[in-house]
Amino acid sequence: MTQTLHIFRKDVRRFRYELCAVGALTGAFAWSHAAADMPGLPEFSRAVMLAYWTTACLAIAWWFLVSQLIHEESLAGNRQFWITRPYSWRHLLAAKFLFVVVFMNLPLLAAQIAILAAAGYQPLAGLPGLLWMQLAVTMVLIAPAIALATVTRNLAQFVMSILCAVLAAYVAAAALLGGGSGIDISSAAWLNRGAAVLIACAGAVLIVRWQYSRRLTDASSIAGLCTLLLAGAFYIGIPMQAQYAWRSSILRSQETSAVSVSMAPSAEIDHSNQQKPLDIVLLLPITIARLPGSEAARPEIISVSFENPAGLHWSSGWRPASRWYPISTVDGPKMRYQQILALPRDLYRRIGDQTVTLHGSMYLSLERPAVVSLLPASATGIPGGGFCEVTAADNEKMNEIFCSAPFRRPYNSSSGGGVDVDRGAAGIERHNRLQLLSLWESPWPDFALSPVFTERFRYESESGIAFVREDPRACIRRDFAAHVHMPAAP
Amino acid sequence: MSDPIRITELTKKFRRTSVLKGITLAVPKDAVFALIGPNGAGKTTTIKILMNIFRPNAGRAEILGIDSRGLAGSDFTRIGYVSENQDMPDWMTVDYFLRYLRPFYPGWDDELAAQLVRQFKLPGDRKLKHLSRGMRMKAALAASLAYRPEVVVLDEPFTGLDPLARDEFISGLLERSQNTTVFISSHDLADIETFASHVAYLENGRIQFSEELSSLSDRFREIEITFDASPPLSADWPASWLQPESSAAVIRFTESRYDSERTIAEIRRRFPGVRDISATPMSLRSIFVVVAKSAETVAA
Repeated sequence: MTQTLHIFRKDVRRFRYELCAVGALTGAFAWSHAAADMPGLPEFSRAVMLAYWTTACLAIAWWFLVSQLIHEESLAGNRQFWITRPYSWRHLLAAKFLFVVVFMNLPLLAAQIAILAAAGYQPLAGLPGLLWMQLAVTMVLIAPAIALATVTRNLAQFVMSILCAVLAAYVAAAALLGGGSGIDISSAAWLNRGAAVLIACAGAVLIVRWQYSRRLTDASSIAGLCTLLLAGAFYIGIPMQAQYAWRSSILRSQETSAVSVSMAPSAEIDHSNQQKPLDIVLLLPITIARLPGSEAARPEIISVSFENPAGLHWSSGWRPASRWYPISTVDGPKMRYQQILALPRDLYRRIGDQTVTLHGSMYLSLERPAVVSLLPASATGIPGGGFCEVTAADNEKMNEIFCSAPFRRPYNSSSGGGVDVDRGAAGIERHNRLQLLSLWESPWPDFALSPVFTERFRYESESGIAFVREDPRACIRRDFAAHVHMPAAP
Repeated sequence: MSDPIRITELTKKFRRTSVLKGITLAVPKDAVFALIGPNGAGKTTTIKILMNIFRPNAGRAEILGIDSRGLAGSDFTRIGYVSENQDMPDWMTVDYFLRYLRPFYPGWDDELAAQLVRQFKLPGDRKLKHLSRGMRMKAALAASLAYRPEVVVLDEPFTGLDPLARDEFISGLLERSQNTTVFISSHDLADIETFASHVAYLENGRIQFSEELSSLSDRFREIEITFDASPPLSADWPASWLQPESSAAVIRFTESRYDSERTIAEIRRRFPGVRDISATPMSLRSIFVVVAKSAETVAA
C-alpha cells in the first residue's frame, strides 16, 4: 500500500498540469450539459453543440492522460529505468488504477450528479445507474486505452495504433456493408455491442495483467489484435440468423402455428430504384397469412435463393427484411408486402424472363402495438421515467416536444410514423408515433458520459404525440417455396 | 559463499540470429569483473538477461542465487544497475529522483546518497533531462550505490564520457563498492585495466577467455625474436602464438600462454639461430586487439 501511494503521489506531481486541464474539461462538460439539457433550445444551439464538444474533448483528454500515465512506467521496451528497481507490479498497477479512479471516475461521477441535479432529477435515487455508468465508462473507454498503452512505448505509437485500428474498422465495415450483409441496428443490437464490450474488456484485463506481471509485449500485442478482431466480429453482429433463432426460442406461442408465408408467382422490377446501377432491384410480393387476432406481423430478416432450369443457383444470405417499403397492407388476418431484393445485373440476365424455383426463409415478429401515453393531453411524465414539455415552435403550425430522461433515451429517436387513436364520438385522432423502449432493448442504462438523455421532436400542432410500446408476442421462422416468373431484363 | 553471478550455457537468439551461443562464466564475490568484447559480441544481451530484461532461449543466469527469469521486485533492493542506454525519468530533478527512489530500498543510506551527490558534483535542483551525459550516468550510479547493493551491474557506463567524468565515475564506484561485486561491460579497456580484478572476453556470442586480470597479463606477452639472417618460418606454428609477423631479421608474435622458461625454450628449439628474444608485457587493449584479430583470421 505504501508503495502504491508513493507511486500515486509521484504521478500526481508528474501530471499536475494535465490534471488541471482534465479537471477544467470535466467542469466544462458538467456545465455545458446542464445548460444544454433544457427545453426551448434549438437542436443545434450553441449550448447543445458545446455539450457535444466537451464530451468529445473529455474522452480524448482521458485517453491522452491514460497513455501518459501508463507510459510513465512503460511496459513495452527494454530501456526503462524502473524495470530494474524494486517495483512490485501489483503496487504499480494499483497506483495507476487509483489514479484513474481518483482523477477520472470520481470527477465524472461528481459531474454526472451535477448534471442530474440541474435537470431536476434526484441524484441519490439514480445512484445504481450512476455506478453502472462508471463501470461502463471504465470498460468501454478506459480499460481498452490502458491495455493499448501497456503495449505501446510512447504517445506516437499509441495514437498510430488507434488510427490504424480505426482505419481497419472502416475498411472492414465498408467491405462488409458493400458485400450486402448489414450491421444489426435493431433494438437488440445492444446484445452484439454488449458482447463486443465484454470481449474487449476481458481482453484488456488479460493484456494489462499479462503486461504488468510478465511484460510479454509481443504476445500481448497479438492477444490485443485477436481481441480486437473478435470484439469487432461481435460488434458487427452475432449472425442475424443466430440472433433471431435465439429470439424465436424465447418467444413461442401456440397461436402462431397456423401463420404461413407465401410468395406470388410473379415478381416485378423496381425501375424507380436507381441506387445501385449495377444491380436489378426486384420486388417480391410476399403474403403473411392466418395471423392470430388483430396482430400485425413484422418481417425481421429474410433469406432467398433461386435456381433456374439450367441449374444456376444464387442465394441472398440473411438480410434485413424490407419492412415498410414500398407498401404493406393488412387485410384481416393477412398482410402483404413487397420484399426488395437487389441482384447483380449480369446474374439477372441469365434468369430474366424465366420461371425459377425460389426458396425462402423468414423470421417475423407478431405484435400488437400498445399506445401507452398521449401528449400533450396527458401528464408530462413519460413511462420509464423522465418528462416531456411541449412548446410552440417559431412557426405557429408546429409544436416542439422536448423530452428528458435519466440514464435512457426517452424514446427510440429513429421511430416515426403515425398512429390512430379512437376517441369514440369525437372520432379518430391521428397522432405522431414515438416508440418507447421495447422488450429487446437493454435493461441497463445506455452508454454515455452524461446521465441525462434528451430528444427534441417537431410536429404539426393539430396532431398529438402517442408513445407506443411494441413488444413482440412471438418470433417465428417460416420457410416457403414458389415457382416465380422473372420479368425480362430491361 | 557461492559466486554472486553464475552464467551457465546461456543461449539467446533474436529470431534467427544467435547472439549468445552457450556462454558460461562465474563472477566471484567482491570481484570487479569486466566483460569485454567488440560491438555486437553479446555483452549487453548477457547483462539484460542477467537483469531479467531479456529471457534466454536456453541455459541459465543466476544473480545472488536467483534465476534471472524470476528476478523481480524486492530482489532489486540488493542489485544496482546502470546502463548507458537506460531511459531515465527526465522530468525529475536529481534530488527528487533520489528522494523518490529512497522508499523502495530498506537499506537506503541518506548520508551516503548525500556524499555521492557531493562527490559527483550533481546539481540537485536540475532536471535529469538537463544534465550532460556524464552527469546523468553519475546520477544513475549514485542512485544505484546509495542502498549499498551486493552486486552492481554496469552496461557500457563510460560510453560518451569525457576523461574527467570517467575518472570521477570510476573513483566513485570503487570508493563506494567495498564488499560489493561489480560486473561491468565496456569498450574502455584502458580504464578497465586500472580497476578490474577479473576479465572475460566475449566474441561472437562465445566466451574466449575468463580469468583474473593478473593471470591474463602474466600469460600474454609480445615476443620479438631477432635473427642474424632472414628467419625460417615454421609451418607448424603453435596455436598459442598469435598474429605472427616477420620482417628482414625479426619475427613478432603474441604468446597467449607465456611462461618465461617454457616459451624461451620453445623458441630456441624452433629457431636455433636466434640472436635475441624480448618478451614485453601487454596492455589489456593490446591483448584485446590481438585476440580479436586472431578470431577474425580464424573465421576468415
